Amino acid sequence: MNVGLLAPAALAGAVLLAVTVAAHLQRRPPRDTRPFGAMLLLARMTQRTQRRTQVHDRLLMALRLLALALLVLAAARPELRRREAPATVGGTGRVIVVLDTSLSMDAREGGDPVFARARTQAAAELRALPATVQVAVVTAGSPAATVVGWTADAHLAASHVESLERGDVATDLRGALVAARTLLEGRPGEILLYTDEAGPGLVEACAADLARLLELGSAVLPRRVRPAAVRNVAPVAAEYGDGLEGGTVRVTLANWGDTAREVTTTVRLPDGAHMTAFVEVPGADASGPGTAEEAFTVPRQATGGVARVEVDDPDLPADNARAFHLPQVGASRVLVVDGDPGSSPTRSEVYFLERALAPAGGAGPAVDVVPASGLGRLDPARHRVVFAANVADPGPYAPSLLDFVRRGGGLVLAMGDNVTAARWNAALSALLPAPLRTPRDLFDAARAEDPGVPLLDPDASASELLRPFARGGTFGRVHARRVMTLEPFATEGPDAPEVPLRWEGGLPALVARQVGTGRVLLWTSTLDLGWTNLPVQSVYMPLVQRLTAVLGGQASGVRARADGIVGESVTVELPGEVADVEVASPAGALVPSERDARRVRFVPSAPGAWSVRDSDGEVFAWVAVNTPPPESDVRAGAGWVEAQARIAPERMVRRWPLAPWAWVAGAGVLLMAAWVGRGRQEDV
Amino acid sequence: MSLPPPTLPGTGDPRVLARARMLHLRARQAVAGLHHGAHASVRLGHDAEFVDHAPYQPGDALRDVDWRVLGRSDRLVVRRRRAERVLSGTVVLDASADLGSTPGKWDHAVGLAATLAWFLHTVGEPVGLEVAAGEGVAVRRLPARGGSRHAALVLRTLAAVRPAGRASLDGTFRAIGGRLGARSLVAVVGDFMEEPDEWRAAVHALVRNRVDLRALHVTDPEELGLAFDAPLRVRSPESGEERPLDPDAARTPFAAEVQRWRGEVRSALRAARGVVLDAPVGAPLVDLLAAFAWGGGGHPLRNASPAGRSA
Repeated sequence: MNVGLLAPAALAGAVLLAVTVAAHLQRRPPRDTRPFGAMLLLARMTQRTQRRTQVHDRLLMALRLLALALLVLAAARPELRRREAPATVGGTGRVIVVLDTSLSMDAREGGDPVFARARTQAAAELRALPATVQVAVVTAGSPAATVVGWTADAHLAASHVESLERGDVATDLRGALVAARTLLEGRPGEILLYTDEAGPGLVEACAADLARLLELGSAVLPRRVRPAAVRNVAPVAAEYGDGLEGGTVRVTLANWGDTAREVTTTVRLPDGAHMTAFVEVPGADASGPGTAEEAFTVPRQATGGVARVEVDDPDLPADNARAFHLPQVGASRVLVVDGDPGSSPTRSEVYFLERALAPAGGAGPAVDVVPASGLGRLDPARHRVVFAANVADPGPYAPSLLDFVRRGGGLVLAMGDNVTAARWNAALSALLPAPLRTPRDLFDAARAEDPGVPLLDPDASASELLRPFARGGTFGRVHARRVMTLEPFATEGPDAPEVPLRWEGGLPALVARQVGTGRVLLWTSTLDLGWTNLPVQSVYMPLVQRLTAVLGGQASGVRARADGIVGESVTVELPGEVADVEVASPAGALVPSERDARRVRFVPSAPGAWSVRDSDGEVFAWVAVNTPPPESDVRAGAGWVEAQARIAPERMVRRWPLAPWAWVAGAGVLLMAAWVGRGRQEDV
Repeated sequence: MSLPPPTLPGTGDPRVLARARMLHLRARQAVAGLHHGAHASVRLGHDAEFVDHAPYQPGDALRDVDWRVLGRSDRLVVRRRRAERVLSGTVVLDASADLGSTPGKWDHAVGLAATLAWFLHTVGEPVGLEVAAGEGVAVRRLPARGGSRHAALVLRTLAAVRPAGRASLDGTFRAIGGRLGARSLVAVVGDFMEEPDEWRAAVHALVRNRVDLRALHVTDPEELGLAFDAPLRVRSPESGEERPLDPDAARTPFAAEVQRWRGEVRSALRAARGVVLDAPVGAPLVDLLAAFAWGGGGHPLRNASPAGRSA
């Protein structure tokens, strides 16, 4: 609210103020000077009365000046001006109601969502319009849509408005303005915008479209509907820390309200298990929402899939849950295939491997140790990683291994004296990163103590497999006296094998290959002390654990994971040729989707665990769908009135003229007070 | 009594002589008015030796009643005494410039000082003069002496002095106190236009020496009443300071200030056992002289004959 003047030229009368000041300062100038023998008394009196007189004089002058100022202002015809949308609607003959149906309109006040209030008000305002006005209705939830075209039947349009429902989608005010501009077809109109004006940057993003509407003579008349208090707490991130033997889910909560809140937070796993904690979330400040992190320990065994974190927040329930991916945890086993059991446990091919996997007598992953013939016991539903060490002939089990890996399983192949290149190449060509060639000795036979060729310290940061060793490793102490050489293979290209470790001289030590959604690792030496000293080196156990964690953590029984936002398109890569693909909502309903040879695309309409599966119900991919993050920010953004006032200031002003007689009367009162004050001063 | 010729350098100015004669005349008239019907001289001495008894009359001090005579003869008589030594009197004239702010105020002050000096002379007391500030005279201090020639010298000095400068009452009182002996009479004629706190201590010191202090507070009612027609600027003759003055607006608070200041002056002097006599311009000299002679006690002529009485 500010004050403007209809006749600002009258302010020139303010010169009178200066005259008044001068007159006040120059009043009753003494014309004569006389000797005075009682100056002492005069000084004493002046000192005693000076303060009172000065205050009185200033008050007197202030009263006079104020009175004159009021008279001058009265002549200038002041009026109150307030930046506000025009009060009357329908003057252009075309009115478009834009109703924000986004998630943030679920904000509650008194238990009721503001969306319900906005819907009711919009319908009432439509019904109140004159019969000659053409109306239309546009929704501003992503994507914006025209739900009622031009009609003179405002009551019909109001009924449509009352039937609209809110979605868990983002706000698309810009799309709504574009739709409105399309409807107006270059003619002026009034756009009644029912929105909560929540979230940063929404109005700014619409500035260009707003300017075009204003150029047409249109105006956006905001009908702001939002709770009086800004309150909302929502989970904004949830991530499972990888590890075969369980781990933690780190949940980040954000609070957009001004005050700290303690909310009940629950993590619900796909198998129905849940963990609850009370989390204190600080209030928002100028830098952004207050955030708090909480870690939830996942049980040692948990089914993989899409889990949820939920908070108990009554202020905006629609964003209270967040879906996130959870790999299968702990429930399956590592299958270790011992190709050379040996005469005693310590001579077993996998003696060291078994202890490296479960160093504390069961604290590590559950390990099933079987001979080569036991590969037939491979159960893709249980086993997640297979170590095949020094297996002579994998031929009989190759199909099951290939299927296991393609479905996301992890396979580690280790060499040994039993390995025959020809048989392996013939049986496992679809799995081997590169065809095997022949074993090669890397030591000087003349020197009995020659440890062989050392491993090169890898660029650990460049390899996901070896990332934990980026802070330092002792690979250089690992020596091999013999390795299996490989046929030359390309290391460039999208599906090219990766070589995370090499022996000195360049021979590959560890080669990785992606097969389907699973992974195969080929260790070109042995996992026991046959060809290398690796098992007795300090790096052995952490390396085995890391390989297991990575391979096992990825294997959750599905072929892909994806994330999505409600209302936004999600694309999922398909594993090879799949005949029939279905997309199922969290409720299990099949939804339309588009697909080509290798992808399927769909638009989720609700948050939760969406799945892509074949006609048999086999899930190819889990999609964790969440609500649009900006919708959780319920803090008031820039106002539409201010935005339009910046573009066309004269459109967004309401005026209240102030009666001149009131100013004159005020001046009269002040002058009277000044006159009375003058009399009293003379008395003193 | 005719005035002797001037004996001091610089007193040959005819205007001064004329003024001195006029002062003499006024003083004689006032003193004569005071003595009308008394037929005797007045002595103001405090200490006196016994002479004889006289019948008691109402108004006589009880301390003069001779109780032994009353016990023996049942007659009520008072003891009459003769002064044992001469009481010297010193007239102090404040000749600061403020006294000259109005002609009437200065004339009144000088006339009053001359009257007091002549009165002391006529009652046979040695008289001295102390001029504080002022100009026109080479000698500001005349020690107390008897004789007509000295009295005439005092009058001529008073006639010659003109108001000027600033008189420090504090310094004046201290200087007098250092010179006068005990049981002296000091008559101060001035406007006392200084903060009483500045000279209060000096007055106390003076009175501790048993000096009989009698102050004649000279004021000009018109000046203190701000009898001006219009706003004006007033200038202090002493400091030259100027101030605007709206007499209409200031009259009431100024009167209150005057009243307050009078009270302070009286309080300071009376606290030192001094006698304060208001001497506004226009007040008859004879009345002022009478009040001075009474000294705040009984009439000085009642018991004066033949040898005066103690005040």
